Amino acid sequence: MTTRRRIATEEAFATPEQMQAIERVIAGGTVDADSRFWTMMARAPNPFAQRVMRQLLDLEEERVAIMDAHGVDMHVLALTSPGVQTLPSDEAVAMAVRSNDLLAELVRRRPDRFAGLATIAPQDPEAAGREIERAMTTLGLNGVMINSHTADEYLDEDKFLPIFEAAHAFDAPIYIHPRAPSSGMAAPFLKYGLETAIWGYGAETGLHGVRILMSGLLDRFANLRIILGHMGEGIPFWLWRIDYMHRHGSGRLPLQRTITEYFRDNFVITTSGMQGPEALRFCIDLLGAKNIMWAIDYPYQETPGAVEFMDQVAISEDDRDAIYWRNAKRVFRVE
Amino acid sequence: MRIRRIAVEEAFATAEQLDAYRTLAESGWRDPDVLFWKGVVGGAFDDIVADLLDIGVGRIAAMDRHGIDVQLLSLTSPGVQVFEARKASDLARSSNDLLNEAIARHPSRFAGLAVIAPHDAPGAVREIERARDVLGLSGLIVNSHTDGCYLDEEAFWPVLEAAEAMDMPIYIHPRSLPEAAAAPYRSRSLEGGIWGYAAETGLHAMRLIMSGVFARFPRLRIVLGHLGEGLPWWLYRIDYMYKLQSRRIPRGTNQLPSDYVRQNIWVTTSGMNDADALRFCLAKLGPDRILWAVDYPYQEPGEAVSFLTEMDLDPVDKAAIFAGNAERLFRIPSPEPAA
Repeated sequence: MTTRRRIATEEAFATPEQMQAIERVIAGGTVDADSRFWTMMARAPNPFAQRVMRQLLDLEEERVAIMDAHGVDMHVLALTSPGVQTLPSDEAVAMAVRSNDLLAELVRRRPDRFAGLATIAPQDPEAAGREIERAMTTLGLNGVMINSHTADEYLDEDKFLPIFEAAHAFDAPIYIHPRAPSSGMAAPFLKYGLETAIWGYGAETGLHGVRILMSGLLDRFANLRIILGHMGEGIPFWLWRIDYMHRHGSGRLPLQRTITEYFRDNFVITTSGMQGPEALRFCIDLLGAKNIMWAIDYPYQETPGAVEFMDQVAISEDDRDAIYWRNAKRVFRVE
Repeated sequence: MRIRRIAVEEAFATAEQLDAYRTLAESGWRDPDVLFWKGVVGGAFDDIVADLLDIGVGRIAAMDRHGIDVQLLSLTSPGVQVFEARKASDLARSSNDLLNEAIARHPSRFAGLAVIAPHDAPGAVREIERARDVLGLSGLIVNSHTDGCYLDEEAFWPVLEAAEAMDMPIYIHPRSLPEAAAAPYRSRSLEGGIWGYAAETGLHAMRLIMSGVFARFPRLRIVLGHLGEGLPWWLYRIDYMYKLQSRRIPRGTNQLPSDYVRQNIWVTTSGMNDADALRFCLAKLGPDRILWAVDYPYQEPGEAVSFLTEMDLDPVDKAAIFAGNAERLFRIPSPEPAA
């Protein structure tokens, strides 16, 4: 009998300088749909914000203790959303380098417990491409995380091509992580605080995924791998309709495959924040267990709940192992 | 015995409505829905326009070809919501009269949802009362936002109050996102049925839940097409995040967002002829909350009929989805037993 392993694939950390920079952006009065959440995180004396802040900044103590307590072998770490994407370009590029150095050093020291996704600054697409190369070669990291829009722009826009060229050349999977909706769509979310995880993150990131699916990027870079959290940010539920509308619609780029085919071939989804058995089984039937990875979303979500869900959900043991760790090993080339 | 089939999201148009869209389009109005209709009335989709305008024998012949017993008709999106308030209410009344006449001519084949102008709240309240008491219509249709405003806003509460009091379910039908929220959908032409309609209409429903209008109007009944515009899919996460956050639903006491979905919302299969997605919704919502729809003439009736007919499903549940739930929710009489 093989021992079950558990590799969690959407696990956040922060650096003190990132948190100081976000605090500075807030203090400077820059307002976007993420501001309210980060103002709460940085300033509210509530227990959730204080715990999450502490756990984001901790890398090896409380984090590893919690992993050990719940049998989590590995965190695939990434700098917490919105990464460096809200900072001025030069500052963002430099901070991404320092953050990735720090992450790579940790992964080198604790390769049994950590893997890492590099952060990049899409504000400067050429520099972002170079950082992907450095992350995948010199640093030996396992992929890239991008936190949805950057200054209201989405990755399917032509200016971001260097990012995809580098991801393709160095075989870096790109995890598109949520942030709050861009300013071009955020207004109706704000009244009831719907811009966050309760609705807006999925709306923002699902749209981002659909834009990439429609963009022709996956014809141009046929081996590109995109990862979406939260059980695919709503896209699996809509695939039938997306294909139908794509077949019957006009005004969009002609594509070589159906949208469902791209989603099966080029996308991998994770279970972060979606611990419903029906949704997981729906995705296994539609996409195959090989396209699904387990995630906790530590420290925003609770480790025990994520472990309990994945231990107990009624699926085959083979699928459970694939989702718990085998797929992560393959996708992120974790030894 | 064949299962009765009642289709509940079925569109018609009036010549007066299309003329008014054309005038609006020519005025330089930038609303994306009006621009869509500019193309349509310009001849881009003549066959669909002909089908929309026919609420008589031609439509019934199409229903007969596919074994559809009843269509629940509604004025096509965006209805009257793009016009200024007085004109919108005038057009709502004349459309509802025309709908009423079509139903009177074919009472066993048609039922109808009244169109209202939410931005003329007093006029909408009067029209809701007339639609129920005089015209005998089955409910109301509202095409998502009105000039960027959503039904949770206090200005619309009289409309919700009247709908609740008169026992008229409100079908919230998609339309394109408002100007302030449409930008990132445009570059890949994602405003419509492929993604934006659901983004708009799902957000509308979430706003209703979080605003507390279901706590204020507990018997208010909302119908969402497209298997609930994404809400059933996200129910687990919505509840989880709600429990975590400090913001409460006003007057919501101990209710979770999913409680309101299960108490106040019905969903239909329009445009989602996908057995797996329907099965998912059955597991989350149960067989009593799901109704069948075609979205005629925009979508193929044959596909909508065959997907549910062929689906491996408890026959009692299938009959409920095809007709029973619609009979109850929209007061559509059961057919006379054959002599």
